Amino acid sequence: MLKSVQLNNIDLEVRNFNGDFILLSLLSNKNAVGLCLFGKAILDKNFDFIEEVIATETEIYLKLNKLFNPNKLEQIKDIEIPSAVQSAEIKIPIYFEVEGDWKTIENISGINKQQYIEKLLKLDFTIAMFGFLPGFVYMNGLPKNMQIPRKATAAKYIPKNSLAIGNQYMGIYSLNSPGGWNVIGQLPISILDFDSLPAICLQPSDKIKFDQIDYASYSLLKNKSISIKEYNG
Amino acid sequence: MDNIENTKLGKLKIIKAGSLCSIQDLGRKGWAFYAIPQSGAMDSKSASLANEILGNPENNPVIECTGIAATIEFQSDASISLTGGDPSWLIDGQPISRYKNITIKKGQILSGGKITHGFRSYIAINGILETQEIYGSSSFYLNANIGGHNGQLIKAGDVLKWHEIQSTKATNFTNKPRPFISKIKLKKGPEFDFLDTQSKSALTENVFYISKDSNRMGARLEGDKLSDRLHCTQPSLLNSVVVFPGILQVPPSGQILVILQDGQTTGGYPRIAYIDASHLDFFNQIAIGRAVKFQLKK
Repeated sequence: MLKSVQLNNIDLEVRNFNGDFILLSLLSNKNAVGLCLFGKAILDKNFDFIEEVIATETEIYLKLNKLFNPNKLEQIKDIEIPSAVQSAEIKIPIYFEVEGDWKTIENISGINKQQYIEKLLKLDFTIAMFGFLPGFVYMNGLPKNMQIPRKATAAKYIPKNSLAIGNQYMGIYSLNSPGGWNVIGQLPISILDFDSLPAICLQPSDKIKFDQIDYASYSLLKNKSISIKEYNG
Repeated sequence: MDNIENTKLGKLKIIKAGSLCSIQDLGRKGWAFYAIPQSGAMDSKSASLANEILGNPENNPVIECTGIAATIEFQSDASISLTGGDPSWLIDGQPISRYKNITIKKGQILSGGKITHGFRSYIAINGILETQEIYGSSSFYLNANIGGHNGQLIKAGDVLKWHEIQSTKATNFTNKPRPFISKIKLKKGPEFDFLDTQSKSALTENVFYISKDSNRMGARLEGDKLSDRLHCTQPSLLNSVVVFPGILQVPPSGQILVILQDGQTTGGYPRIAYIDASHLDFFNQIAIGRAVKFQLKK
């Protein structure tokens, strides 16, 4: 069977777990840009022998069914991965005047809230992966001096549509949930919509920029309950 | 399912529901990429068997009771079947057997007690329940409040409606109760070798218990002895990795965490093993507080 596949000149190890599932894993701690996008490309192929695809920044999981045979895996070698350059640029509105965990963030980053927000608004983020809960997105792009470690003990309740920081990632809690990330703001609209296919309007490698909004815009957008797509016009 | 609007409508009223009673089918497949769990019946075999007995499609939504039976007043005549764990079902106080086609009349009450020989019981009706269908599945998923009965757990006072369907099988079709198995088959997971030697033997030699801190997302296992806490040479992983129903993770506490039907799709702890797909149904029938023993497939 296929032992490894190349992705943008990076070797991925192929491990078959008893024909139940396959893991495509990065052999070293190399930069993983594109792995999640590769996962999405496999998902979009709708292979008959694959039931589920899940991708993180370091591995891709393929749940197999009875139609799997090792030869079929050869097909994934020929998948063309869309270049990250073609990814969409999406603006996400954030209301920052929430209590959240600003005290922790000011203490750790050593800059005040206003300075932190100013820096944040200049940054470009990239959708790294999905995980944890439906619609929870992990975004890369936070420089080291703005990264905030996860809480030692998770908070019992984080309201849905919270923007939060967990180590190197920015994340959006798309549902009410317990969570260990540091909350910095609130989205007026949800990125999760079960009436759409797929339920999340963001894709791996999409470029994200945050817009600061005031309370009036926050309320307006919330009441209109428009989608991220509509917000981006 | 053509002309479903023209079929006869049936009704039932929930008099009592346990704390975790919901509508499930065989799950929401193909969306794990977006961290949408499959959900679905915790004992999928019992759920599809309940449908098979009535001649329903195997993926037809059923009622899943957890730990304790629901009490239901039928407001229409119905054919039903009862599978999974045994809550000593009664109709109007008279014992009724599981795993067969049962006729219940308008006004009769189905009830039962604590579920034994399992933890989850299924009620199938010869009809299609009115449910919230999301991505081709009626399975209720708590965290997102989707699927099932209006995106909610079933509770006392709820009225469920169904559209009658023509059964394709003889009405006296019966089946043997599924066995209760607490010796669960495992296969090695991606980080099996992170376990130290003692923990590798403890995994299959010790007896673990399902913690009360378990739900449809995951089961925690506990033991009486210190050696029931497993030890990994590398307690947490550098990066998020994929998890799925049936996988056993070992967090720094050493208490095994099994991801289940409503579980998350990524995690950060060593994945030491996974439950053989044919045994996940059996594992999910082990009640809170009851023992489980693992057997590792070579």
